[in-house]
Amino acid sequence: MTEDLIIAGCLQNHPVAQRELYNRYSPKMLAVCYRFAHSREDAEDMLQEGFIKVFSQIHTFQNKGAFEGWIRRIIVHTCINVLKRNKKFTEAVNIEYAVEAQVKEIIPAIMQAKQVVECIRLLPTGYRTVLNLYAIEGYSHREIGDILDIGESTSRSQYTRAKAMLEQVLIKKRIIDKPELQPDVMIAF
Amino acid sequence: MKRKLYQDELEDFLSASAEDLRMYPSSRVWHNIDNKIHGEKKWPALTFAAFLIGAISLAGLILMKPDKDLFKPRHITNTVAANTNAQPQASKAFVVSENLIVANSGKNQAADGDELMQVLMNEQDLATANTVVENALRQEEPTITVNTAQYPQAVLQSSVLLNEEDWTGANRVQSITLREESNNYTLNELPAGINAETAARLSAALPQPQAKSTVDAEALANTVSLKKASKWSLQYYATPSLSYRLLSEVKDVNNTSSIAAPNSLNAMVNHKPKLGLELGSAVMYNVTDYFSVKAGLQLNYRQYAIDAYATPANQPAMIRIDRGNNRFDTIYANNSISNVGPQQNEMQVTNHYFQLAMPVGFELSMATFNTSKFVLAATFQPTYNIGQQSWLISSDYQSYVKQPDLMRKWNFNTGVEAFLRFSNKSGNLNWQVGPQIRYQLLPGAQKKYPVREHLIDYGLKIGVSKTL
Repeated sequence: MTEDLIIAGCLQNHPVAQRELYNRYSPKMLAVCYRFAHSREDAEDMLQEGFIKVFSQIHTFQNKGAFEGWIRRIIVHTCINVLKRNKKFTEAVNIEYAVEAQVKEIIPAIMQAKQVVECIRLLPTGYRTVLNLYAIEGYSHREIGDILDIGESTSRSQYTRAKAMLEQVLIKKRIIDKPELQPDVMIAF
Repeated sequence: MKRKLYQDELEDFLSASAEDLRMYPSSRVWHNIDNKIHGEKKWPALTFAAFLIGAISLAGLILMKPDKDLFKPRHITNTVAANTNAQPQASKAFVVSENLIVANSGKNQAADGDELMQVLMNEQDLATANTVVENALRQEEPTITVNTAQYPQAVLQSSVLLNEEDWTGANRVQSITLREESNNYTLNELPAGINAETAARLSAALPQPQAKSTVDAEALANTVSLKKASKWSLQYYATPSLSYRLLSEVKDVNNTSSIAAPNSLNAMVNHKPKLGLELGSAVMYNVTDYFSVKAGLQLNYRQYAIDAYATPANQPAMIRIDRGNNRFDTIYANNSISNVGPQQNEMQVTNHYFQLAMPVGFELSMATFNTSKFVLAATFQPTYNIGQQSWLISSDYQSYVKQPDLMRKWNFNTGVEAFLRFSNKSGNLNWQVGPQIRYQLLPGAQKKYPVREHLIDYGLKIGVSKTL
């Protein structure tokens, strides 16, 4: 079934088209939710809420961009709304403890994506959200400030700290190597 | 500059890694979405099964012509002691309630399953007991007293349920309840509430006092005792069923960092039930009228399908094995199929199990109707796997592999069932139909395999049993 047929079917509230759309995009969108959520169950709740919005708002899709991108924006905004509603931004975790608790092993390449996402999820909710929006979803700091009701500079500073934390985690878990700092780099920095 | 480059690389790396990840939501998510946008749907299979069972039960009850007092317990209140030497007592009367039929004394047997009747009659009165009163009184009418000085005195010691073949003149002999009363009515002095029509019917049906006995009382006394049915019976049954499975996993084994899968196991596997069959035979022994034990042998064929994806080349799959004491081994297999993949590569594989089981259990009769019973039963079934084909999921949930050596040969199942049992006229052949659930107590694979799979079958058991 082509994307146009799926959209046309969904516009007519056709169950088969809706199921097809869900089957096609839910694995990717659940991974998006999972990066924002605290648990898999929370991620599934976000996904569920997001897809209900997708089906109810599909008539607003105007074929001006990628359909997947349109769905993704709805899902991301749903995730943010859920986090705001549950006031999760104030929670924090002990990064050191979380990293040490993991078994240190060499990570096979095939598992790398999962491991990177798991590392992102170790960050405090506020840092994680900004990092997700900026580094992965491609939002600007101004947009992030608007979405999260924070200042643009706050978004920048949170992102810088989030990235530094994540870097530590990735190095400790041997997912990336520690960068070799050279004299000119130090001077430049 | 180098630092800047590193920063860009990190972001690209994060973005690429995150984009690669796919997670498969549990079926609950779509179910909730579908309910939200289309409303709650009822499970058609459940509705159909309930309808089928209901229809069979109703048809059975109608065909067996149940009593009007279907759900009322039958009993004799204030049973009159048998005394063949007792003189007729003019003052003694019995209130006859509900439907009364006086049995033809010329016949000698009455039996219906395990309900037996003993009719002991006064020698003098036996001569007049050759008449039938059929549905003389309606339930809503007041009780009527028959003077036993004029009419035969039947002394009954048990619930009465007579076989129509054995009693001429009686289309159907139904329950009789007798109770001694101080009041003494004759048909000429009917209590208020008995209408003329009922009185006329009763009068015509009652025996004539001048009738003489043609039955040898001694012969009757010898033959009136009833033959008891055997306590042993042989049962054959077949149960078409649908097999489902319940999955869980031992987290300590599969949740190491090298294979950690963010997806839950149940979200990653998708299986569909397929039709299986159970064929068996059992010997039953009736311990009491309501309780029996049984043991037998049965063959079970159970199967279910798993959604999978064909791969152009065998992909390596890894299974973590728990050796105990925190020691883990890893099995690598190449003969695998994928659990994830593009839609065009979708396929199904089937897990089959062919088993021999020895069910041992009991049956408990919960309610007795006219010629049918409602029975609950449970069995414990040591089971041997004669043959099987089982695809096991890899530790990262990405593949399915065949590892027959990981499967158990012996297992234990348990079964619970509820059914209606219908008896034929002579009571020695019984048919039964009802739902059955069979659950596999131990996981299909050995303990060292971290994924626990318990099969559960939902079936409709149809059986026949014959008294030996």
